Amino acid sequence: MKGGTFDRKNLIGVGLRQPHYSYVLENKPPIGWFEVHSENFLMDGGPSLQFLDKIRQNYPLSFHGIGLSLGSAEGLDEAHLRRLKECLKRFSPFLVSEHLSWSRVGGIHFPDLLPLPYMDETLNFLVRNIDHVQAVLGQEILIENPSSYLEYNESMASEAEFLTHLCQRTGAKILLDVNNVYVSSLNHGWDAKAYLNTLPPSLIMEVHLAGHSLKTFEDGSTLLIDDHGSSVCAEVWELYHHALLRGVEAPTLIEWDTNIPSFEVLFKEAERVNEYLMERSSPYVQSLNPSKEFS
Amino acid sequence: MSNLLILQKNFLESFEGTPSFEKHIKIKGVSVKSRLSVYYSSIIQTLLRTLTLTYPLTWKLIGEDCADGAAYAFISKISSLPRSGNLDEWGASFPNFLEEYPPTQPLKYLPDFARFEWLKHKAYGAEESSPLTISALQEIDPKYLGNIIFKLHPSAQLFSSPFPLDEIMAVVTGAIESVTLENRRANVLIIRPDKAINIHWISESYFSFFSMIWKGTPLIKILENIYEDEFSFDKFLSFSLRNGVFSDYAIHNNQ
Repeated sequence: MKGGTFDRKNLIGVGLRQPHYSYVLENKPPIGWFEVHSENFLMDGGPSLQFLDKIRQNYPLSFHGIGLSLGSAEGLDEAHLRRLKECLKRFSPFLVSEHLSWSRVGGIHFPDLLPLPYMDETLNFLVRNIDHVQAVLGQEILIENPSSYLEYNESMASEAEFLTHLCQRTGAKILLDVNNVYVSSLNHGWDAKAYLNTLPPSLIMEVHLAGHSLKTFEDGSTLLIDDHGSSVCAEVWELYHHALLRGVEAPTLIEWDTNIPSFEVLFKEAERVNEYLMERSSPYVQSLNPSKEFS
Repeated sequence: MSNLLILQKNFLESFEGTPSFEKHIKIKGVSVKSRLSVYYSSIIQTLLRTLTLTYPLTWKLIGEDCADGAAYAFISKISSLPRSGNLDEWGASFPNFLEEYPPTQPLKYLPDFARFEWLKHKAYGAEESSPLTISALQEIDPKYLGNIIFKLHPSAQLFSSPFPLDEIMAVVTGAIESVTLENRRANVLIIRPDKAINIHWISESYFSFFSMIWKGTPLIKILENIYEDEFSFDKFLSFSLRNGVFSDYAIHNNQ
């Protein structure tokens, strides 16, 4: 593997977005790793890839996909999968992830993470698609629990049970997005802690933390929206703490995709992750080296 | 047809305006319409944002309200929606849509200006390649010079329009205040030899020359077809090498 190698002593990562490329290259902040959206780097060449090449020289990367549509009944977009494979070859990420969702039907791709009905038939389609992805990429992938705004009449299992069973069948691992658990739980009346208690900690290989917002409709009803546009709220930190106490020991990422703040703000949020990890007293975790200051 | 496929096709139908997906949604608290609107809104906003990133100068040229209106109308057509999860490839047909969209139809120059922006977008993400250097050309045996077939850099994009796109762009960027939409062609070569995209407004003869190179025509055949008295091959070659227009060459076999 070229460049930065993932070190379990620094589990904390940050979602790398375009406004921070130059800052990261110039200041080399003491972050354990960065995560990027795979679809932002599927082009043939150009400045974005060149920037990421340079960042890769100093940091391990995780590639987080939003376009494979693992839950499509029509199967996968093979051209998209091939491009992803080429991209992964260039950057050798230590983690590759996608979502428990679908986006593609009738040759149309909806750029969103649409929820799936949790039934046997869906499980079989997902197993087939994930098996194929892992075979083509030659590596295991992580599947992220989505944030959702609707549930289906057809669903026969809880999301946590379904995701666990899917990963057990495919050998894929779980990317636990704690904010998504919180958002979906509030939107559907689920018990967020019961959700976390269902997931086997040994399957969780990455954790996401992010902010959300409240949307109020004309009739006064509300839904939480997973917009990644603010700090992680107290309730999500508490759920994260709960997951750590259950034995989750996975690289943890701060995601911030809208209203993107300065890198210093992101870094402070990442330092909070460290506080929780320290409190849990994991033998794997060391300090983020707080004496190092940014210029 | 599987139940999952039916459900997914129903989503597509509902997005088109036929409410067939709603029956799958559990009724609980917040209305089905509101729940579904979160997804529709997210899809539309993502596509709108993608277009604004691909066509920033078009947005500036006609103003945000008009451009957003055109984008919403474009996105509402199922035939316009993306065919892959790589949104970088999506939006090429937006200029054609601007030609038909009633509010922008009178702006005859607009589709070509948007096509020019699409080519800039393509150049940005094109394959990387080292530009051809003069020292590489010096290695060629002079007796084969006429048989050279230059290869354009992978990022090179050529476009010709009956409208003065160069001046329209100068207005958009604030370099000049106004433009007279006279009948004057604009020919452009867009290229990204390294990090930056370079835009070269070129003459008719340069455009013809580059177009023939793009078709794989040997040098001698191109020179036979250039009729402009003022044309200087030395200057053309110097311009091309200085700006990294070629990435390679081959020697055409007459046999």
